[in-house]
Amino acid sequence: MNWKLKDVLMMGIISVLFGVIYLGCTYAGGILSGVLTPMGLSALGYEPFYGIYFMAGAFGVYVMRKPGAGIISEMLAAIIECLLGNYFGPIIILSGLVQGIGIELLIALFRYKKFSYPTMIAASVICSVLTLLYNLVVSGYNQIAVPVLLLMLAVRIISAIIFSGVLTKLVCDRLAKAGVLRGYAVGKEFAMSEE
Amino acid sequence: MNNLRVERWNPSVKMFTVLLSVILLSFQYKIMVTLGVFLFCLIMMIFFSDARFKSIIKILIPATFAALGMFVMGLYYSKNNSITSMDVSDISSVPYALRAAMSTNLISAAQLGSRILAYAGLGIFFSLTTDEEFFISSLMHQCHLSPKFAYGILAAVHLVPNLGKEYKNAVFAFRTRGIRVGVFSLKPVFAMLVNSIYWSENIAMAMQSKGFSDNESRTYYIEPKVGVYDILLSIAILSLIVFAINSAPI
Repeated sequence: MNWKLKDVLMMGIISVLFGVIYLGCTYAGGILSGVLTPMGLSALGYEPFYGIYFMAGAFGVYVMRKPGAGIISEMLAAIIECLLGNYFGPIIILSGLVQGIGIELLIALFRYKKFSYPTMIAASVICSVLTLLYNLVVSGYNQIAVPVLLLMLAVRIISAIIFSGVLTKLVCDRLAKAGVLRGYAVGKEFAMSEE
Repeated sequence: MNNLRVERWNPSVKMFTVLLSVILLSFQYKIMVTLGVFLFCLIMMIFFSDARFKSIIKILIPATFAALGMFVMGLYYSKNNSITSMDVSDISSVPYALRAAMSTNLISAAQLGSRILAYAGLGIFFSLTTDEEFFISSLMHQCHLSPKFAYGILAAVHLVPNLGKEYKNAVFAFRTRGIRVGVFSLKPVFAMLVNSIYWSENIAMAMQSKGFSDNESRTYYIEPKVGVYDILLSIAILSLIVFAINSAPI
């Protein structure tokens, strides 16, 4: 795969930035989760921020538009988060792989040519479902009652639509318009539309 | 004594041991096994590593809260006897419904909570006993991660302390222009995104101008190797988990 050093650094630094934003949200999620613990819904507290997890992958594949961009970006983000001291350590590399596949699956089916809002939103929904399936097995969520799982999935999907579906595209398009992403596939599309 | 430190364990082998342990634990529900794995990780960290006791406790606090949260969640909403499936229209029956659910769900609750503890134990064990440069070097030598990814990751990680400064700069820049910036404002974040992309281009250029090349052969400062003991330790731990899964009563 043809990745340039600057692509790797760009994704690495963006992942760090998302990682720090995510860390801030983890504190918020932790407080929310703590509040929800007496009601037995602690895991729900983290669900509103799930979309931010998917942003690194969505950003990578949206900007670079080539096979593997989503998966590699999400795994880079996971390795970096592991180094920054996430208490699940290398386990999040495994979740990163699942998230990367989730976000890239639909875009790959469209041969990396369609990047409209509906595509990005649908990719985010697929990613939410796939990651919940992963949670069912690995986190033991299959022990939880179905209505609660559906509630968690619903919150996760809404979060994913907002953050990785809409916000990622919005921010990338603005960055491309500002001319910052000239060296990447998304920047070329904007350069063409302005001519 | 220094030979017995888990810091010396090859990081790639250690990582795969942790990941394989997680996969083994995913397909079983025995509380003794999950708690055993958690205790084992603690013992390894306290007696066979240089990890400071204080940092172990500090990182364990959020993990314990997460485990406690999952425990209470299991207590209320296990699929066997969830309070969602009960008739709670009659308000006087609610405490009874809660108690009934709790008594039958205790085991699944313990299964859920202890599983999070086991994962956190494994994760913390890895994080606190692995040097980041040694880990990335090992990924290069054992997992064939290309040097541009390896050094890209390290460069990004080392930029973290600058992000806070950059955020403050962005906020000040907006203020001097008379633009209000609130705590949740996305404006400085957008400015940081722009700067991050410029940074990445500049760092890439700086690395290349210093002669960094991905295709040519290079020398390495640290060259981790996999020895017999690395593999033996991994096999021993994984067999212990398999043995525990097969023989533990609950």
